[in-house]
Amino acid sequence: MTGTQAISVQALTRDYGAVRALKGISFDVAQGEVFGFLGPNGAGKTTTIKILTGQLRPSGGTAQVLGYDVVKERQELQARIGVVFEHQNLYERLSGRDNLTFSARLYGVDHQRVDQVLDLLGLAQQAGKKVKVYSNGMKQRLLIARALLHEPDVLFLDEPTRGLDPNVARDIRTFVAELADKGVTVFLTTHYMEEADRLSDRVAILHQGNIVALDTPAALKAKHGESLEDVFIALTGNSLRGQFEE
Amino acid sequence: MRKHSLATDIRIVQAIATNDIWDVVRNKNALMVVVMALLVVVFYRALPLLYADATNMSVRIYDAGDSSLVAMLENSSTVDAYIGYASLEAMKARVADDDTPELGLVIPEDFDLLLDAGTPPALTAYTQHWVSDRDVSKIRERMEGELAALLGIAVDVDVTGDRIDALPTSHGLGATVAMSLAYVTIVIGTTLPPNLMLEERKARTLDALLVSPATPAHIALGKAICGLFYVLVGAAVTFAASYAVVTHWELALMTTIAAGIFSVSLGLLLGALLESRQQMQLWTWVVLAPLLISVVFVLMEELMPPVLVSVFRWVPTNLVLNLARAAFAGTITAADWAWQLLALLAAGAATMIAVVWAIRRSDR
Repeated sequence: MTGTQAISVQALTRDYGAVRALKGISFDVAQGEVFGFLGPNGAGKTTTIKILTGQLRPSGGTAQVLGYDVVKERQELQARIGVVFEHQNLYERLSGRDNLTFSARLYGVDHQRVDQVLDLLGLAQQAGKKVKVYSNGMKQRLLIARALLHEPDVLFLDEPTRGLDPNVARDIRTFVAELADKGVTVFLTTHYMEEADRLSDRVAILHQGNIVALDTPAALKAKHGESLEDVFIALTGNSLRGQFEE
Repeated sequence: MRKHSLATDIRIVQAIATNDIWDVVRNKNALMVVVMALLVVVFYRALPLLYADATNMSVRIYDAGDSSLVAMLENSSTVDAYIGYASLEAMKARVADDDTPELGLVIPEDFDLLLDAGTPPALTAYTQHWVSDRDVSKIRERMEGELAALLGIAVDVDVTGDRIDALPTSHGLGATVAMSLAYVTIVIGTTLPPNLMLEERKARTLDALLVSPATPAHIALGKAICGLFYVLVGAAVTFAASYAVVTHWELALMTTIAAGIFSVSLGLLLGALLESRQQMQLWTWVVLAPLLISVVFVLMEELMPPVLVSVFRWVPTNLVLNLARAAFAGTITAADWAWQLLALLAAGAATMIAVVWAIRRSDR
């Protein structure tokens, strides 16, 4: 972990009508850090990601990513971040390559880079096929390829392994770890505590719009339980099984 | 505050527009919008041919004297003769109102005298300006055959004079083509952009666009260009099917572009405000119905209250209709189109302002 901040959040609030979804959260993420952002459904994780990626304006407080204000410098910020959404939001009628080519045009990225990321994610052989015939795992890899196309400095991963079979999920975890080794800052939300434990340098647990814990997985386990799942349940009162049943 | 260079803005908008233009071809909902609109154009163009009398020849007659030929033509089983025009101009105006090729025949005052003398004069005849030379020859030959059969003597029919130009207020083929132009531009422009935006929302690809360097304005502009592209495709098909009707191409083009700007702006507004396909199906028709129905009111103005007609004339679809009719007419002055074109552009600008408001409202 370096001393330079990739993400800096101060007293961030977000209201939806009378409901305050974020209640003044503050945290920093260092450059090159993998930051696990955990919490039960409705805790405010997606709201936080939307604010940090410039999709949503905060109601109060400040947030900077790579030194850019997420409200005032949204366009500069968005040119340097990559986002892998929870939903597989790809153009299903286009091929994998055409999906990336479209993104390459938006970012002004050389088309050779499309082939590079297809190779990197192991999709080169299937690149010409329409996305609608891709498996979930291939779609997820394509989402990551799209997010990496413009070589972002910060990568936001929202539930990147949800619903994937164990082999694909493991490949993706390995890939994320490799990215972090290369200095990419990763902001990760996941329901898989083991995944967060293995990948994250630090973990924040969000509950009802407040950060109730923020530390290294080891420190949290030392304080609250044997596993990160124990920590999660102790701090939020939610069982993870319940999370999936919702 | 401008964050991107103009070149970057153009690159992003071009990427979105190109992606959407190709996507329409692959997307059955969007493609259906274009195909259905084009089918209506083909239907409108083919309609006059469906009700045209294939066996009888239609002739409008201006009889300057009191020729016995008129009665003969009226009694002919192969000619549908229309008579009783007070002047040559009245007869020509009526021919201009027809949407199938017609002959306007002039019988001079001394025709019977000269016929009795065995030297019948050539009869002057007129056809609409959009009838092809080949069809004019066929009509002329057929009329000469009819006259020879009825009179027992060869009578020339001279159709080499001026063709009959439509007036900006004429009905006839010009009005039919103008109606299909209004339909195709308004329907494609109003329904395609919200369909595309809805698809992006449904597939959540809009989220991916919104975290890319594309701003909501880029996205709206890209979709507007795609909508305008297909409006122009629809207009091109309309004009290709009826190119002979157009007499003022520059006005036809300006009308198409102004209609496209208005309808695409309206489509973007619907796309910005509506969030589900059910909402879109409902509201698109709530918006389209008055726009399209008012065209019928104006075309049937003789049957409608004048106040209603004078109000409906300023509905954008009727502005398109009347501008196109002017583009298909003979001699026109700026008074026939300038205010209407300005009003259509103003309607487009006002709708675009509403689009900007809706996008800013959603850009939270």
